[in-house]
Amino acid sequence: MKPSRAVAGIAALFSVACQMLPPPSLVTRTRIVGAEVSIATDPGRAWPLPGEEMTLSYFVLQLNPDEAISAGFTACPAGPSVGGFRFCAGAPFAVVPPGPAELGPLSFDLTVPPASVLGETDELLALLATCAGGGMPRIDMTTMTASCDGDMPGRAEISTFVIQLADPEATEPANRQPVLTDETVSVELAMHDPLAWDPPTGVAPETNCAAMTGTPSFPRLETPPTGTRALTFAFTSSAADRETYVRIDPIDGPVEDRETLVFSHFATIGSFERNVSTLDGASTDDRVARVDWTPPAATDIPTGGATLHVWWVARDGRGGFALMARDACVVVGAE
Amino acid sequence: MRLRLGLPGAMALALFAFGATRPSFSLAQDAAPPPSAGPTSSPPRLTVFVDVPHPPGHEEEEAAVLLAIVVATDGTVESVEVVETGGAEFDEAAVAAARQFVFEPATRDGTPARARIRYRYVFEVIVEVAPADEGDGQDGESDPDDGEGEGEGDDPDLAVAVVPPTELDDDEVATFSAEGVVEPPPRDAGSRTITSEVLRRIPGTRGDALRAVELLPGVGRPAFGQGVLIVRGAAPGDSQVFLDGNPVPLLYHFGGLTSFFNSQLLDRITFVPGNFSVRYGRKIGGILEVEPRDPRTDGYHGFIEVSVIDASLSLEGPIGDNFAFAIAFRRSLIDLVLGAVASSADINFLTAPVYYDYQAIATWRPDAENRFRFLVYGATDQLRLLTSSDASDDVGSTSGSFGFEQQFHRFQLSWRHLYGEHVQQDLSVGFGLNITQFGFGNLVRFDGQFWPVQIRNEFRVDVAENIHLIAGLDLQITPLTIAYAGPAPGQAEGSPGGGFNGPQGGRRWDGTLVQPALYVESDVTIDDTVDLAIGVRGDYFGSIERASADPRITGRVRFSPQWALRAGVGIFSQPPEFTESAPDLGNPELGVIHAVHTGLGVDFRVPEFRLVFQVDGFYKHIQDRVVATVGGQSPRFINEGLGRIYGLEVAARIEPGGPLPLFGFLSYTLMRSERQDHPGDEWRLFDFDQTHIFTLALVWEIGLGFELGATFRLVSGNPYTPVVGAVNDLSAGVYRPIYGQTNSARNPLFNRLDVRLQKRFDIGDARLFLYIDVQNVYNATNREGVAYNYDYTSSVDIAGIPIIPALGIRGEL
Repeated sequence: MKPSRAVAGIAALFSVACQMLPPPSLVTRTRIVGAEVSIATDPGRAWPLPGEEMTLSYFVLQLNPDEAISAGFTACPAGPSVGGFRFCAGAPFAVVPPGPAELGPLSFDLTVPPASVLGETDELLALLATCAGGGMPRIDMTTMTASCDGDMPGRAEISTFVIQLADPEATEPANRQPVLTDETVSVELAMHDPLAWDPPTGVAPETNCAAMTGTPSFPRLETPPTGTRALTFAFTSSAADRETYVRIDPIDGPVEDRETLVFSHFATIGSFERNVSTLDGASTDDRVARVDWTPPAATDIPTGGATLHVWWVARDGRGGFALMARDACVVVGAE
Repeated sequence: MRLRLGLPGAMALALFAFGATRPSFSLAQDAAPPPSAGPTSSPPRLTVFVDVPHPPGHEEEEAAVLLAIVVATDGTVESVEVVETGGAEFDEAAVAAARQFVFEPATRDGTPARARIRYRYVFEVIVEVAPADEGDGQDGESDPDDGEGEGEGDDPDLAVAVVPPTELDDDEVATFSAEGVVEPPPRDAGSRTITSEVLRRIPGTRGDALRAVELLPGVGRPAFGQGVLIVRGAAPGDSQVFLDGNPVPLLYHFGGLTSFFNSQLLDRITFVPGNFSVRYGRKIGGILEVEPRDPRTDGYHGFIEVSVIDASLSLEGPIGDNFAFAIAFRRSLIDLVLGAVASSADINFLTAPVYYDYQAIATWRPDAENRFRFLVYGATDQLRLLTSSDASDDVGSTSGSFGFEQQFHRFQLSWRHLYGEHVQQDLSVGFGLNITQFGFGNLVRFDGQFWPVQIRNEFRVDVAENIHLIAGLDLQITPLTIAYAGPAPGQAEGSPGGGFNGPQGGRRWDGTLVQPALYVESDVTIDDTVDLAIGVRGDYFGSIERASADPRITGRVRFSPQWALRAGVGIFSQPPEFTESAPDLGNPELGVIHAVHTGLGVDFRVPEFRLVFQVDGFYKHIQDRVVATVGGQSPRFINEGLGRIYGLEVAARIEPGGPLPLFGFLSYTLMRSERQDHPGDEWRLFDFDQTHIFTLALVWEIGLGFELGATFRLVSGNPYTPVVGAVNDLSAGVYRPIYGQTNSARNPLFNRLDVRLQKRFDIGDARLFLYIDVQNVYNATNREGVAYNYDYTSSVDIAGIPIIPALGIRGEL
């Protein structure tokens, strides 16, 4: 295990170097940040059974709603990881040729093959190739890189998503999706009561948002005219979101455990103090996840305010996903 | 892993038992045989004495300085150390004079041998010249016939005389310079030795002796923070560091800032980049021997040293007539310094190495024939998070802790015993504990505990006047417990992504790893000009239940005192890494990795200027390299990789004590190190291939206690594999890079200048050193790697260390 020393040394260097790069939490282009399985007969379940019908919906963070997105999709039995990558272990059972994505969520309906077709595989691999901004995606399988055909090719990307299948004979219940959309979100302000922050009720204006603020679904966030002052975004998760389950530890064998929720946060302006937050199932019963967000400098905020879009993506570590979105208007306040 | 000794193991134990239970041999002194024994060994004989006047202001004073002088095989003085001070200025004068001495070298059975002697340099205020019979030319201290050393001072009323040590009798044996140690000639044709005097004064090392090894030809430059030893294009794991004959798991503390052993307790290091003796095995790269010194017996001494990097202290001295001890301790300070800086600079994620090390040495010489040495040492390394707000969660969707800890502790006992004048036994037994733990969130966990027992039992027998036989047992028994959780590790080298394969897995291993080895080597001298070392080593590797036999031969031809030719060829074997051969993780059916070393070198010495030039050419062929299977398929690893390394090394060395107030090194290595992973694959560059390695290190003794040193390095950047794309892994919440051709790009040329300025103050019997050691003086920005943004569409350079001034103070008593 001698390479571990080198890895750790490089990690120490990276901890400094990475601060010079834009963080993944800053959304500056169309991003796909997760996906969610939805089973028609049991909407909260994250693991489909062989033979079940399901829908796979991708979480798309789109800055410009008018931007064209085209996509191609393939689903197949998943093979083992090779260098971190997943490949198909069998023939694809669902193929959607590249074409323009329909308005609305980027989603695909599938029927999971029966167990007799899947064999020993208990995971599916979903491969999505997209072009945002123009063109049709094309994948070079030898290099696993994507490109966009067309006169005005956009940005090509390959996304992979692994779907865990439920075991029909298992005594343990199948994993369920975390539920974030109904939970309480607030902005904690120094010297003020927390400000409620509800889900958006419509499309937020991208300019002059100050004129439309003041509602819990589109709150007004003030930043000082000089200097910076971080705001704390807090949301309270449901206790049921962190399910207990029996984990097979490779060393200790079966261990009763509780899910850890990992939240990736994204924003269109400003900066988070970190890219992910965690509610550790084993070490805390705290249901409130907080993260500090620093608005842009006052000089970078237009007179009419700057619209802020914020997203949280939750992962329960076992294939359960959820997305939560909030909008706000950032204005320059008094000193 | 079961305890399987088989025939090799049984033979090894038998030899060990033999060596430990044969008391019938008689005893003899290392270097000074009794008069009746015949002159099989002779001490160095002083042929050129250099006198110096009394230091200014001390013309009316008398003083004596006891020196320890190492005399090289060519008769020049290799190093001088003050054993008993005569006062700071007298010490300085005596050392300066002794460095210019020339000796007729010591011999062992007619062969010139390196020797260490004690020498008392006396400054007397006398009117009459000392009688000629006080230095009889046999005592290694002065030669009255050459007229030097007596009555040659500027002041006719003063003279410098050299007299035998006062505690010695004037008979023939005593004037042999009682504590002379004649050491055998090096058995490794390409070995390079640096003594402690030089080691501690090289700039850029902050006085850390072991870091000076990086300046030698053939040693690659690790990237900052890696702290690994790269020898002649070999992987770090292919080379081994030994302390007093026992392998140690690391050379540097984490981050590569400081080595694990306190420099003040070192005698010397010997670096063998290839063609090393059969005494060592299980490695196909190079060997670094670290030899601690014996504690001082001339009173109590100690030192305290503090810099921004770390702080250390030591104490040593005698207890009774035959026993002496030394202890030392060091603790890093950089975590405290960086922590204070980070908290005030609002840095929200910062890690720093935290390390300790300790050493205790004791020697006991119950009589002239026995020497016991006890060594207790260890080190602890941690990567500690200094400031963070849940920063450990800041890696994709990973949760859990990020950390690294490695520690090792050793107790080592060595016994040297002489059976008569022709047989010597060295028995060394070491045991201890290694602990390695690291975790990367919930992705990888490793917890390993090892209890290594190392036994080395070696006999040296003078078969004939010009033939010496060395036979030994090298046995390693390592009970271990390892727990690993994570994907199966892939190929470590030539695999830019780290190469983890498969789903989360792992298990716990409990067992005992047994690795016995037997070796025999004969040193033959022909016609006083040719030295041949012919040996063979047999190893048994318990982890894979395979054995190997490695024949090796090295030779040296001395055409003249100035010119010599060296050559060597041999086979070297190494077992796979644990992760490659462990059941359920790797392939237990793997075979042994083999390498063939060939080398040819020329030495040219200019003794009057203390100059040594060396040119070495080498070629290494590696076969049966362990590589990952394509796609990580079962059995995951196979022995079908190849390697080839070839190059030229040029070295020049000015040793201390020459006519110029300078010493230093110049080394240049031109090298190519390539690997082929599977038959038919294109050859690619090795991860640490460095085409050009140029080092110039000079130390200038300015005078008045000032010393200025500088080290300049110019090294080809390491190869790296460019990223050509990325896949968005939505399940993990990270982008996974797609790499281009392995090691097809290279970092820019590395350049750096380090400077060290030191001032010595003498306060009574104490010495105080103030120094500033500045690394990267002109703040060169050297790219050590590339950091990418989250989706690998943009990147920034990872720069090496900026300018780092380290102000330090060391007090010695």
